[in-house]
Amino acid sequence: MSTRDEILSRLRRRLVSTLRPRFREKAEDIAHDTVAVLLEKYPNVEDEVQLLKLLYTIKRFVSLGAARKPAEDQFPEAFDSPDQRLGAEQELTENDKVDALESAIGQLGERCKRLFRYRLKEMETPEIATHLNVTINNLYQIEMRCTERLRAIMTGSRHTSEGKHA
Amino acid sequence: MPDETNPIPLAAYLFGKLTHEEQSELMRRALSDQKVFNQLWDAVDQRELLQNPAVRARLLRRLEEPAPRSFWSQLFGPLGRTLLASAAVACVALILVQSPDRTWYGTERPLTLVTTPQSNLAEFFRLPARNPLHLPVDLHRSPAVFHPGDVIHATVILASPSAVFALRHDPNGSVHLVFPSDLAASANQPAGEVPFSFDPVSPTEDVTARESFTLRVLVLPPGIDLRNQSIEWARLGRHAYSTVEVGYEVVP
Repeated sequence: MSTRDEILSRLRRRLVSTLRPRFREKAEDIAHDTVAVLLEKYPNVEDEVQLLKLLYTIKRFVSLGAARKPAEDQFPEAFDSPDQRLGAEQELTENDKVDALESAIGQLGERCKRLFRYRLKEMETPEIATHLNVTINNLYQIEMRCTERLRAIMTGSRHTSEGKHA
Repeated sequence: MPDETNPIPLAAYLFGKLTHEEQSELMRRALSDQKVFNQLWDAVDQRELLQNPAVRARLLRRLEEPAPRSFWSQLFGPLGRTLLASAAVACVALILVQSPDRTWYGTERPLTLVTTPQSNLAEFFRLPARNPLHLPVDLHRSPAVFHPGDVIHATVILASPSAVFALRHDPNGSVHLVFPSDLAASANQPAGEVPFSFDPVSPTEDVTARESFTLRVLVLPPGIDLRNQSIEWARLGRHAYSTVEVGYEVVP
Protein backbone atom coordinates (compact mmCIF):
# COMPACT_ATOMS: atom_id res chain seq x y z
CA MET A 1 0.00 0.00 0.00
CA SER A 2 1.45 3.39 -0.99
CA THR A 3 1.71 6.32 1.38
CA ARG A 4 -1.18 8.00 -0.38
CA ASP A 5 -3.31 4.89 -0.02
CA GLU A 6 -2.46 4.75 3.65
CA ILE A 7 -3.46 8.35 4.13
CA LEU A 8 -6.74 7.85 2.28
CA SER A 9 -7.43 4.75 4.29
CA ARG A 10 -6.84 6.71 7.49
CA LEU A 11 -9.11 9.49 6.26
CA ARG A 12 -11.82 6.98 5.44
CA ARG A 13 -11.64 5.49 8.95
CA ARG A 14 -11.83 8.94 10.52
CA LEU A 15 -14.76 9.84 8.31
CA VAL A 16 -16.65 6.65 9.15
CA SER A 17 -16.26 7.43 12.85
CA THR A 18 -17.52 10.94 12.27
CA LEU A 19 -20.51 9.92 10.15
CA ARG A 20 -21.61 6.83 12.07
CA PRO A 21 -23.60 8.56 14.80
CA ARG A 22 -25.74 10.28 12.18
CA PHE A 23 -25.79 7.91 9.24
CA ARG A 24 -25.33 4.58 11.05
CA GLU A 25 -24.94 1.72 8.55
CA LYS A 26 -24.70 4.14 5.62
CA ALA A 27 -21.59 5.77 7.08
CA GLU A 28 -19.24 3.20 5.50
CA ASP A 29 -20.70 3.75 2.04
CA ILE A 30 -20.67 7.52 2.29
CA ALA A 31 -17.09 7.54 3.50
CA HIS A 32 -16.13 5.14 0.72
CA ASP A 33 -17.74 7.37 -1.91
CA THR A 34 -16.11 10.45 -0.48
CA VAL A 35 -12.65 8.98 -0.51
CA ALA A 36 -13.37 7.75 -4.03
CA VAL A 37 -13.82 11.37 -5.03
CA LEU A 38 -10.42 12.21 -3.63
CA LEU A 39 -8.91 9.24 -5.44
CA GLU A 40 -10.51 10.08 -8.72
CA LYS A 41 -10.45 13.85 -8.80
CA TYR A 42 -7.16 14.54 -7.07
CA PRO A 43 -4.86 11.73 -8.24
CA ASN A 44 -1.71 13.80 -7.86
CA VAL A 45 -2.22 15.08 -4.34
CA GLU A 46 0.05 13.14 -2.04
CA ASP A 47 0.32 15.43 0.97
CA GLU A 48 -1.83 14.36 3.91
CA VAL A 49 -2.61 17.91 4.96
CA GLN A 50 -3.74 18.83 1.47
CA LEU A 51 -5.86 15.70 1.21
CA LEU A 52 -7.54 16.46 4.52
CA LYS A 53 -8.21 20.05 3.46
CA LEU A 54 -9.79 18.71 0.27
CA LEU A 55 -11.89 16.33 2.28
CA TYR A 56 -13.26 19.19 4.36
CA THR A 57 -13.79 21.22 1.22
CA ILE A 58 -16.04 18.58 -0.32
CA LYS A 59 -18.09 18.11 2.83
CA ARG A 60 -21.13 19.77 1.36
CA PHE A 61 -21.14 17.22 -1.44
CA VAL A 62 -20.87 14.48 1.10
CA SER A 63 -24.02 15.78 2.74
CA LEU A 64 -25.85 16.08 -0.54
CA GLY A 65 -24.68 12.65 -1.66
CA ALA A 66 -25.67 11.13 1.66
CA ALA A 67 -29.12 12.59 1.37
CA ARG A 68 -29.59 10.76 -1.91
CA LYS A 69 -28.32 7.40 -0.79
CA PRO A 70 -29.32 4.65 -1.23
CA ALA A 71 -31.78 5.73 -3.93
CA GLU A 72 -29.05 6.55 -6.38
CA ASP A 73 -25.34 6.23 -6.35
CA GLN A 74 -24.52 9.46 -8.09
CA PHE A 75 -22.36 11.31 -5.61
CA PRO A 76 -19.05 11.13 -7.53
CA GLU A 77 -20.73 12.09 -10.80
CA ALA A 78 -22.63 14.92 -9.18
CA PHE A 79 -19.36 16.34 -7.98
CA ASP A 80 -18.36 16.84 -11.63
CA SER A 81 -20.80 19.67 -12.01
CA PRO A 82 -21.62 21.13 -8.65
CA ASP A 83 -22.91 24.35 -10.14
CA GLN A 84 -25.75 22.54 -11.86
CA ARG A 85 -26.81 21.14 -8.52
CA LEU A 86 -26.49 24.38 -6.64
CA GLY A 87 -29.53 26.08 -8.00
CA ALA A 88 -32.12 28.19 -6.25
CA GLU A 89 -32.76 25.49 -3.69
CA GLN A 90 -29.15 25.42 -2.60
CA GLU A 91 -29.04 29.22 -2.61
CA LEU A 92 -31.99 29.24 -0.26
CA THR A 93 -30.23 26.76 1.94
CA GLU A 94 -27.24 29.07 2.16
CA ASN A 95 -29.49 31.95 3.16
CA ASP A 96 -31.13 29.74 5.74
CA LYS A 97 -27.72 28.88 7.10
CA VAL A 98 -26.82 32.55 7.46
CA ASP A 99 -30.16 33.24 9.15
CA ALA A 100 -29.57 30.34 11.53
CA LEU A 101 -26.04 31.47 12.28
CA GLU A 102 -27.16 35.03 12.93
CA SER A 103 -29.97 33.90 15.17
CA ALA A 104 -27.71 31.51 17.10
CA ILE A 105 -25.06 34.17 17.65
CA GLY A 106 -27.77 36.41 19.05
CA GLN A 107 -28.59 33.75 21.64
CA LEU A 108 -25.03 33.37 22.92
CA GLY A 109 -23.90 34.73 26.25
CA GLU A 110 -22.29 38.14 26.41
CA ARG A 111 -18.76 36.79 26.67
CA CYS A 112 -19.11 34.64 23.58
CA LYS A 113 -20.70 37.50 21.68
CA ARG A 114 -17.82 39.71 22.63
CA LEU A 115 -15.31 37.13 21.44
CA PHE A 116 -17.09 36.69 18.15
CA ARG A 117 -17.26 40.45 17.75
CA TYR A 118 -13.50 40.65 18.18
CA ARG A 119 -13.01 37.90 15.63
CA LEU A 120 -15.35 39.58 13.16
CA LYS A 121 -13.42 42.78 13.64
CA GLU A 122 -10.31 40.90 12.51
CA MET A 123 -8.51 41.32 15.81
CA GLU A 124 -5.48 39.11 16.21
CA THR A 125 -5.49 36.27 18.73
CA PRO A 126 -2.86 37.78 21.08
CA GLU A 127 -4.78 41.08 21.16
CA ILE A 128 -7.99 39.31 22.09
CA ALA A 129 -6.21 37.38 24.83
CA THR A 130 -4.80 40.65 26.17
CA HIS A 131 -8.25 42.26 26.14
CA LEU A 132 -9.68 39.37 28.14
CA ASN A 133 -6.63 39.09 30.34
CA VAL A 134 -6.24 35.37 29.62
CA THR A 135 -3.56 33.23 28.03
CA ILE A 136 -3.90 32.26 24.40
CA ASN A 137 -4.54 28.67 25.47
CA ASN A 138 -7.34 29.81 27.74
CA LEU A 139 -8.73 31.93 24.95
CA TYR A 140 -8.82 28.90 22.65
CA GLN A 141 -10.63 26.91 25.35
CA ILE A 142 -13.22 29.64 25.87
CA GLU A 143 -13.72 30.05 22.14
CA MET A 144 -14.09 26.33 21.72
CA ARG A 145 -16.91 26.29 24.26
CA CYS A 146 -18.54 29.25 22.54
CA THR A 147 -18.29 27.52 19.20
CA GLU A 148 -19.73 24.30 20.62
CA ARG A 149 -22.54 26.29 22.22
CA LEU A 150 -23.20 28.03 18.91
CA ARG A 151 -23.40 24.70 17.15
CA ALA A 152 -25.69 23.28 19.81
CA ILE A 153 -28.05 26.23 19.39
CA MET A 154 -27.99 25.86 15.62
CA THR A 155 -28.59 22.14 15.79
CA GLY A 156 -31.40 22.63 18.26
CA SER A 157 -33.05 25.30 16.16
CA ARG A 158 -32.74 23.16 13.05
CA HIS A 159 -34.37 20.26 14.82
CA THR A 160 -37.10 22.56 16.06
CA SER A 161 -37.55 23.92 12.56
CA GLU A 162 -37.69 20.43 11.12
CA GLY A 163 -40.17 19.50 13.80
CA LYS A 164 -42.39 22.36 12.75
CA HIS A 165 -42.29 21.27 9.14
CA ALA A 166 -43.02 17.68 10.05
CA MET B 1 -9.56 28.09 34.35
CA PRO B 2 -6.88 25.41 34.01
CA ASP B 3 -4.62 26.09 31.09
CA GLU B 4 -5.12 23.14 28.74
CA THR B 5 -1.82 22.23 27.14
CA ASN B 6 -2.88 22.17 23.54
CA PRO B 7 -6.49 23.30 23.01
CA ILE B 8 -8.00 23.25 19.55
CA PRO B 9 -7.87 26.78 18.06
CA LEU B 10 -11.32 26.25 16.63
CA ALA B 11 -12.52 29.85 16.47
CA ALA B 12 -9.25 31.01 14.96
CA TYR B 13 -9.75 28.32 12.31
CA LEU B 14 -13.38 29.30 11.79
CA PHE B 15 -12.52 32.93 11.28
CA GLY B 16 -9.50 32.19 9.08
CA LYS B 17 -6.98 33.61 11.55
CA LEU B 18 -4.53 30.71 11.54
CA THR B 19 -1.29 31.01 9.64
CA HIS B 20 -0.51 28.45 6.97
CA GLU B 21 1.77 26.61 9.39
CA GLU B 22 -0.78 26.66 12.21
CA GLN B 23 -3.47 25.36 9.91
CA SER B 24 -1.23 22.56 8.69
CA GLU B 25 -0.44 21.61 12.27
CA LEU B 26 -4.15 21.57 13.06
CA MET B 27 -4.81 19.29 10.09
CA ARG B 28 -2.11 16.90 11.26
CA ARG B 29 -3.74 16.83 14.67
CA ALA B 30 -7.06 16.05 13.02
CA LEU B 31 -5.48 13.10 11.24
CA SER B 32 -4.25 11.64 14.49
CA ASP B 33 -7.09 12.67 16.80
CA GLN B 34 -10.71 11.80 16.08
CA LYS B 35 -11.99 14.55 18.36
CA VAL B 36 -10.12 17.22 16.42
CA PHE B 37 -11.21 15.66 13.13
CA ASN B 38 -14.85 15.83 14.24
CA GLN B 39 -14.58 19.39 15.46
CA LEU B 40 -13.19 20.56 12.13
CA TRP B 41 -15.73 18.52 10.20
CA ASP B 42 -18.56 20.07 12.16
CA ALA B 43 -17.08 23.53 11.67
CA VAL B 44 -16.91 23.34 7.87
CA ASP B 45 -20.29 24.93 7.17
CA GLN B 46 -19.77 27.83 9.55
CA ARG B 47 -16.26 28.39 8.30
CA GLU B 48 -17.50 28.54 4.74
CA LEU B 49 -20.12 31.12 5.68
CA LEU B 50 -17.61 33.18 7.61
CA GLN B 51 -15.35 33.48 4.59
CA ASN B 52 -17.99 35.68 3.01
CA PRO B 53 -17.36 39.37 3.86
CA ALA B 54 -21.06 40.19 3.48
CA VAL B 55 -21.98 37.53 6.03
CA ARG B 56 -19.30 38.76 8.41
CA ALA B 57 -20.54 42.33 8.10
CA ARG B 58 -24.11 41.23 8.75
CA LEU B 59 -23.10 39.26 11.85
CA LEU B 60 -21.02 42.12 13.14
CA ARG B 61 -23.98 44.48 12.74
CA ARG B 62 -26.08 42.03 14.70
CA LEU B 63 -23.51 41.86 17.49
CA GLU B 64 -23.23 45.61 17.70
CA GLU B 65 -26.96 46.12 18.09
CA PRO B 66 -28.02 47.11 21.59
CA ALA B 67 -29.50 44.19 23.51
CA PRO B 68 -33.30 43.97 23.35
CA ARG B 69 -35.08 44.88 26.59
CA SER B 70 -37.41 41.91 26.63
CA PHE B 71 -37.93 42.09 30.41
CA TRP B 72 -39.48 45.54 30.20
CA SER B 73 -41.50 44.77 27.15
CA GLN B 74 -42.94 41.74 28.94
CA LEU B 75 -43.49 43.58 32.19
CA PHE B 76 -45.36 46.48 30.71
CA GLY B 77 -48.17 46.62 28.22
CA PRO B 78 -48.26 49.16 25.37
CA LEU B 79 -49.50 51.94 27.66
CA GLY B 80 -46.83 51.26 30.25
CA ARG B 81 -44.16 51.32 27.59
CA THR B 82 -45.44 54.61 26.29
CA LEU B 83 -45.38 56.15 29.76
CA LEU B 84 -41.94 54.75 30.41
CA ALA B 85 -40.67 56.11 27.12
CA SER B 86 -42.15 59.52 27.85
CA ALA B 87 -40.49 59.59 31.26
CA ALA B 88 -37.20 58.53 29.74
CA VAL B 89 -37.40 61.26 27.10
CA ALA B 90 -38.14 63.82 29.81
CA CYS B 91 -35.15 62.64 31.87
CA VAL B 92 -32.82 62.75 28.90
CA ALA B 93 -34.07 66.23 27.99
CA LEU B 94 -33.46 67.37 31.58
CA ILE B 95 -29.95 65.94 31.55
CA LEU B 96 -29.20 67.55 28.20
CA VAL B 97 -30.42 70.92 29.39
CA GLN B 98 -28.41 70.76 32.59
CA SER B 99 -25.25 69.11 31.30
CA PRO B 100 -22.31 71.30 30.31
CA ASP B 101 -21.10 68.43 28.13
CA ARG B 102 -24.14 68.01 25.93
CA THR B 103 -22.59 66.25 23.02
CA TRP B 104 -21.42 63.38 25.21
CA TYR B 105 -24.95 62.24 26.00
CA GLY B 106 -26.06 62.61 22.44
CA THR B 107 -23.35 60.35 21.13
CA GLU B 108 -22.85 57.71 23.78
CA ARG B 109 -23.41 54.70 21.55
CA PRO B 110 -20.18 54.95 19.54
CA LEU B 111 -18.30 54.11 22.73
CA THR B 112 -18.96 50.52 21.77
CA LEU B 113 -16.14 51.12 19.32
CA VAL B 114 -13.17 48.84 19.29
CA THR B 115 -10.45 50.23 17.09
CA THR B 116 -7.41 48.41 15.82
CA PRO B 117 -4.29 49.60 14.01
CA GLN B 118 -6.11 48.62 10.81
CA SER B 119 -9.19 50.70 11.55
CA ASN B 120 -10.23 53.40 9.17
CA LEU B 121 -9.09 56.69 10.71
CA ALA B 122 -12.61 58.03 10.24
CA GLU B 123 -13.59 55.77 13.13
CA PHE B 124 -11.85 58.16 15.52
CA PHE B 125 -14.25 60.89 14.48
CA ARG B 126 -17.10 58.67 15.69
CA LEU B 127 -15.84 58.93 19.24
CA PRO B 128 -18.03 61.19 21.33
CA ALA B 129 -16.59 64.68 21.61
CA ARG B 130 -15.62 65.25 25.21
CA ASN B 131 -13.05 67.37 26.88
CA PRO B 132 -12.89 66.68 30.62
CA LEU B 133 -9.36 68.08 30.74
CA HIS B 134 -10.52 71.35 29.10
CA LEU B 135 -7.65 71.19 26.69
CA PRO B 136 -7.04 74.34 24.71
CA VAL B 137 -5.96 73.88 21.09
CA ASP B 138 -4.78 76.92 19.19
CA LEU B 139 -4.02 77.24 15.50
CA HIS B 140 -2.52 80.67 16.12
CA ARG B 141 -4.39 82.37 13.32
CA SER B 142 -7.59 84.31 13.43
CA PRO B 143 -9.61 83.86 11.37
CA ALA B 144 -8.31 80.35 10.78
CA VAL B 145 -7.86 80.60 7.03
CA PHE B 146 -4.87 79.11 5.27
CA HIS B 147 -3.54 78.67 1.76
CA PRO B 148 -2.18 75.54 0.13
CA GLY B 149 1.52 75.39 0.93
CA ASP B 150 1.11 77.03 4.36
CA VAL B 151 2.10 75.12 7.45
CA ILE B 152 -0.19 75.26 10.47
CA HIS B 153 1.75 75.66 13.71
CA ALA B 154 -0.69 74.55 16.38
CA THR B 155 -0.37 73.96 20.10
CA VAL B 156 -2.23 72.01 22.71
CA ILE B 157 -1.61 72.49 26.41
CA LEU B 158 -1.47 69.37 28.55
CA ALA B 159 -2.03 69.34 32.29
CA SER B 160 -0.22 66.03 32.62
CA PRO B 161 1.91 63.78 30.41
CA SER B 162 -0.29 62.31 27.69
CA ALA B 163 -0.33 60.65 24.29
CA VAL B 164 -1.38 63.17 21.65
CA PHE B 165 -2.80 62.51 18.21
CA ALA B 166 -4.13 64.99 15.67
CA LEU B 167 -6.37 63.95 12.80
CA ARG B 168 -7.41 66.09 9.87
CA HIS B 169 -10.82 65.54 8.31
CA ASP B 170 -10.83 66.69 4.69
CA PRO B 171 -13.93 67.94 2.87
CA ASN B 172 -13.93 64.80 0.72
CA GLY B 173 -14.37 62.69 3.86
CA SER B 174 -10.85 61.33 4.04
CA VAL B 175 -9.04 61.44 7.36
CA HIS B 176 -5.31 61.81 7.87
CA LEU B 177 -3.19 61.45 10.96
CA VAL B 178 -1.11 64.63 10.95
CA PHE B 179 0.51 64.21 14.36
CA PRO B 180 2.67 62.36 15.23
CA SER B 181 4.02 63.04 11.79
CA ASP B 182 5.53 59.61 11.31
CA LEU B 183 5.30 56.15 12.78
CA ALA B 184 8.71 56.37 14.42
CA ALA B 185 7.74 59.47 16.39
CA SER B 186 6.34 58.91 19.85
CA ALA B 187 2.89 60.20 20.68
CA ASN B 188 3.84 60.59 24.34
CA GLN B 189 4.25 64.22 25.34
CA PRO B 190 5.23 65.88 28.62
CA ALA B 191 2.90 68.21 30.48
CA GLY B 192 2.83 71.78 29.20
CA GLU B 193 2.55 73.32 25.78
CA VAL B 194 2.95 70.83 22.97
CA PRO B 195 3.58 72.37 19.54
CA PHE B 196 2.80 70.43 16.39
CA SER B 197 2.86 71.41 12.74
CA PHE B 198 1.03 70.05 9.74
CA ASP B 199 -0.12 70.84 6.24
CA PRO B 200 -3.59 72.41 6.15
CA VAL B 201 -4.29 70.40 3.03
CA SER B 202 -2.47 67.58 1.27
CA PRO B 203 0.30 69.12 -0.86
CA THR B 204 -0.98 67.25 -3.88
CA GLU B 205 -4.52 68.59 -3.48
CA ASP B 206 -5.66 71.15 -6.02
CA VAL B 207 -7.73 73.69 -4.10
CA THR B 208 -9.98 75.65 -6.45
CA ALA B 209 -12.53 76.96 -3.97
CA ARG B 210 -12.83 77.68 -0.25
CA GLU B 211 -12.86 74.40 1.66
CA SER B 212 -13.55 73.59 5.29
CA PHE B 213 -11.43 71.19 7.31
CA THR B 214 -11.72 69.85 10.82
CA LEU B 215 -8.82 69.06 13.09
CA ARG B 216 -9.52 66.65 15.93
CA VAL B 217 -6.94 66.42 18.67
CA LEU B 218 -7.22 63.25 20.69
CA VAL B 219 -5.45 63.07 24.05
CA LEU B 220 -5.03 59.74 25.78
CA PRO B 221 -3.13 58.39 28.77
CA PRO B 222 0.57 58.01 27.99
CA GLY B 223 1.51 54.69 26.45
CA ILE B 224 -1.68 54.30 24.46
CA ASP B 225 -1.03 54.44 20.76
CA LEU B 226 -3.76 54.33 18.12
CA ARG B 227 -1.22 53.33 15.51
CA ASN B 228 -0.18 50.01 16.93
CA GLN B 229 -2.73 49.07 19.60
CA SER B 230 -6.31 47.91 19.63
CA ILE B 231 -8.49 49.98 21.90
CA GLU B 232 -11.79 49.02 23.39
CA TRP B 233 -13.05 52.53 24.08
CA ALA B 234 -15.80 51.51 26.48
CA ARG B 235 -13.22 49.94 28.77
CA LEU B 236 -11.08 53.03 28.66
CA GLY B 237 -13.62 54.89 30.78
CA ARG B 238 -15.53 58.09 30.32
CA HIS B 239 -12.79 60.42 31.39
CA ALA B 240 -9.81 58.59 30.01
CA TYR B 241 -9.62 60.58 26.83
CA SER B 242 -10.28 64.10 25.62
CA THR B 243 -11.04 65.30 22.16
CA VAL B 244 -11.01 68.83 20.88
CA GLU B 245 -12.13 69.86 17.45
CA VAL B 246 -11.21 73.04 15.69
CA GLY B 247 -12.21 74.05 12.20
CA TYR B 248 -10.29 76.01 9.63
CA GLU B 249 -10.63 76.91 5.99
CA VAL B 250 -8.30 76.70 3.05
CA VAL B 251 -8.64 79.14 0.17
CA PRO B 252 -6.89 79.04 -3.22
